[in-house]
Amino acid sequence: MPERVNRTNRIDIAKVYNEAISMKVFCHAHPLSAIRPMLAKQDIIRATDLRRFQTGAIVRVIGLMVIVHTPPTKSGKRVMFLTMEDETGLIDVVVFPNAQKVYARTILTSRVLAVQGKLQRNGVKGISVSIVMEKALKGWSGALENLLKPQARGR
Amino acid sequence: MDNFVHLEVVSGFSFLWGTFSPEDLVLAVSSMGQKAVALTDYGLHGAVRFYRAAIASGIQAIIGARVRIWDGSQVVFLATDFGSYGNLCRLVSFSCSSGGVTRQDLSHYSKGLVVIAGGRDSRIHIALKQGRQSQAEVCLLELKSVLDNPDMLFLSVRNTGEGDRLVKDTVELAGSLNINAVATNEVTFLKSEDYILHRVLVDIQRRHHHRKVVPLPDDSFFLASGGEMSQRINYHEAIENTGYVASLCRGFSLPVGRLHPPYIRNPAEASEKLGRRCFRELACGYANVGVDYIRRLDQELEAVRKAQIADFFLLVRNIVDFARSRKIRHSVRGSAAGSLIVYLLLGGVDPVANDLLFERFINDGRGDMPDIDIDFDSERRDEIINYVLGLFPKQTAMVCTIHKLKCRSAVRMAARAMGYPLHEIDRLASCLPWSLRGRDLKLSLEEAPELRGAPIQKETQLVDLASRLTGLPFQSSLHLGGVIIAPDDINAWSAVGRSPNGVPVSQLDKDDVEALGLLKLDILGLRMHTAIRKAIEILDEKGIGPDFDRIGLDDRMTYTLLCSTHSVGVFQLESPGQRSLLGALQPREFKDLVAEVSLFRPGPVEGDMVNVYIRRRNGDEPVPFLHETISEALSETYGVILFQEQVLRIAHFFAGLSYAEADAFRRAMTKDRRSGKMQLLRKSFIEGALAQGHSDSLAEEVFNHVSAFASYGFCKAHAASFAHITYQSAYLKAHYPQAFYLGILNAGQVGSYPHSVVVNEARRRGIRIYPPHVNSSGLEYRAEGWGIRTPLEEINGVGPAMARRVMASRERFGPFRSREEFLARVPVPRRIEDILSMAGAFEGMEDSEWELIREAHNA
Repeated sequence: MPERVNRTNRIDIAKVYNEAISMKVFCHAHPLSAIRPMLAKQDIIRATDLRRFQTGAIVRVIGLMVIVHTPPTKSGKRVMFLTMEDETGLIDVVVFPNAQKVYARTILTSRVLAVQGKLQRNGVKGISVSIVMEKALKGWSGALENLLKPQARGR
Repeated sequence: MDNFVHLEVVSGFSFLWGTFSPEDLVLAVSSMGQKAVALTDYGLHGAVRFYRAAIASGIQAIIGARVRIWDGSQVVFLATDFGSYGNLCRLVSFSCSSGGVTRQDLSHYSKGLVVIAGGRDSRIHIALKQGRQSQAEVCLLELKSVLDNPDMLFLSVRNTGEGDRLVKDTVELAGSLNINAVATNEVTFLKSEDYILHRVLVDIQRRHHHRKVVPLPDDSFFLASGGEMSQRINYHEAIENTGYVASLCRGFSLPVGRLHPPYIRNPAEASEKLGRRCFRELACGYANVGVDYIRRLDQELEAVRKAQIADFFLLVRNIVDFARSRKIRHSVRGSAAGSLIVYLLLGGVDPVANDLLFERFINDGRGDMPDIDIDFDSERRDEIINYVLGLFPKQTAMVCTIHKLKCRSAVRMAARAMGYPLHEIDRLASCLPWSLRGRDLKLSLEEAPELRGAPIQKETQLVDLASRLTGLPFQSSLHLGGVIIAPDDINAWSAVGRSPNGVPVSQLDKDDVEALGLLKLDILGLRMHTAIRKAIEILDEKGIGPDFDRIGLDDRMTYTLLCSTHSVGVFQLESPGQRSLLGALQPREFKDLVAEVSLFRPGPVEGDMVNVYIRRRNGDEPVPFLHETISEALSETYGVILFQEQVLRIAHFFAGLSYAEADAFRRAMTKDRRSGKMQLLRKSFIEGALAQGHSDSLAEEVFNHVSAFASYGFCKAHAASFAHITYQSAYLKAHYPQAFYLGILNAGQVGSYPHSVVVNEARRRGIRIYPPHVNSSGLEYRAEGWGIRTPLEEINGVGPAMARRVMASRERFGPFRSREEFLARVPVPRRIEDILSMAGAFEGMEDSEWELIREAHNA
């Protein structure tokens, strides 16, 4: 399915900032698109770009936390399945118990999370992509607008 | 053996008062060696489970209830037989609806009931406590005068720290009026140390619900032994009379384990009518009816006739006819979707074309009432429920749901009861993730890494109390869609109250209804039906879009969309796991969707069947050959046992078991895999296989194969029914994305993802998202050209009431020309005005002098 991604240079950061404060959805653009240039400098890549990498590559992504799913397992060990979203799509992250020991609280309290992990490509032609989390780079638990503030001010 | 019987016992089903479950009560009574016990809650919510637990433990269950009478006193009533149980239900119903039973109610419905007066807060007890013997006598005589059988009246003697004088006066009063006295203890906790739980529960009532209730005065209201009761109440007769009362109630039994369907018409007549209707539908639905259809229909009709349940099918058809007449979308779920009768009457997926097995739905071995679960458009389900309630007004009521305290709510409520300030409660509970779910609180605090060092770790007393409260019921409410249809007056089976909307609600939950063999119709709501309906309405307005119930199941664009894994919003296939599976499976036809729906379940995932299935499906692994019969049964799933129907077929064709035996075999494999049971299953399967001429080793091998995977199987009929809705939603998304997104956004929370994710995806697909605007937004998302206009309600702080005010003003006086005019016509607080402005709701409207004045003012 072709995707039309909003280009960063066409984004009115003030509008995105205002929407982050005032609304439950984002009409103008995804909030992460407003800070993408800054993220790119930190080698954080977009969801659509993940398909350029092969299984085993270490990648860094950031996303708004959408769902944290912890289905029951036979062994009783907890595996967390995170669904995050950036401006280009959904990012699926798997967190095994070892990573949970260190990052569980960050994961469960963050609204926006940047993670580093190992890429896994599944399915025919590796169409499905997921990331096995190695570490949480940073979690933002506060209001979303705080993340955008420096960019909004900078304009 | 302890001859004393507790006749006044209040469990956790007296919400936020009692501290134990009926099952725990039975265990405690059994371990004390007592032979009978009563359950006398403020209602009958716990009665059926108590009865079942008691029968299973060999304890006599005495069903009773505490009912408020006209003078405000609580009186205990005990049923002596099933007829008097009906009277008990009616009295509880009256008490629920009007706050207390009248003298007339009691004179009509006291037949067969044992009545125990003189409870702790009764007028009789209070008068005796105050030394006003004559007043107590008047009250007791008044009660006695309205009873059907005055000999069934007993006076409760209790000694809970109020002194021997009261006991003596009570016994003397009983003696003077020729009434028997019985010793009671109003058991509210099983052990005296649980008194603290009772105090906390009462404090929850007081602080959380602001009720004026007083807890029990001390810790003596526990499950005392006969010896302890004899020491407290030194009147042998009162102790002995408890056994006498129990003997009066010995004839009581609940008719559990038998079916009690409503018979609307003669079974033969109903069967004939059903047959005529089905053949008519068959003739109308197919240009050329194949012999296989006729044979299958004959076979199904015969099974229905034998089970005498044709009426049930006609009733469901009646309900669906009503839904069709109102254009309410619906679909059948569960094993019923495998029946040709159900398909002809109610629609869905063709069971013959899709090879669905009727015997999974109905077979000779099933003693329970078959379930026909129907999903209706969520927003319109109430219309169906009201229709069903109106069909049999005296026989129907909604099933109730019992809510139990979970870890997080137990912490919050216990903290509230213990007087923690609200902000502190928020702080303590906020560190508890929702993902704790049913896990034990103490264990989670020890094991969950995110809780290490959390503030709640220091609150040991709170954690202890919350752990002990977890699992206790705390309120009952309306079940979402369960409607009971009783064979006669519903009050003969359950106490019935009224919801705030006036809907009759029974005090039976779904398990109770099943145990009593009553007919329960599950009128379920499916938001995806709402979403599809709303999408179709949009297409109809534009005059585009096909008849969705008749679209072919082979649309290339639909499968291409699914193969791309962009399935957000698609029914059942949008979770991360399902998206990943779509990538691997690359569905090409409808049967792939059926497999996809069935594969992503805990069983197949844990049994590693998913990877095997995918490898074989993609030709990366050969399909092993065990035997022709097995290969045939498993051919559609590449040798993997994916469907319950396949287990039935293997047991039937390979081991020669009848479908009834095969289904019993499947259920036992799924639910009861204790080694003794497994050995019996192995024996019957292998013997059957040998009798069919198979070798010992092959029989053994097939059994091992089946037993390893049988419990993972999913009902194929159910999967096919769901896959049909999956296909419809994917078709919409592939062909009409704008209508699809609008449908999803306007149907409430559909699926896993919040609106923001759906909106973001729509934008990525090139659909323009317009911000909310006071002149353009409605109460829902709406189409604007090829874009989507966001409703005002998506603005923080703007609720439906305000959005309606804006719309009403616009409809009456036309569009707002300026912000100033908006504020004059729809006055809103300054905070909301600012937020509307930030959201862009005034965009494009002319600036006014007013704005300049305000800017100057702020400067």
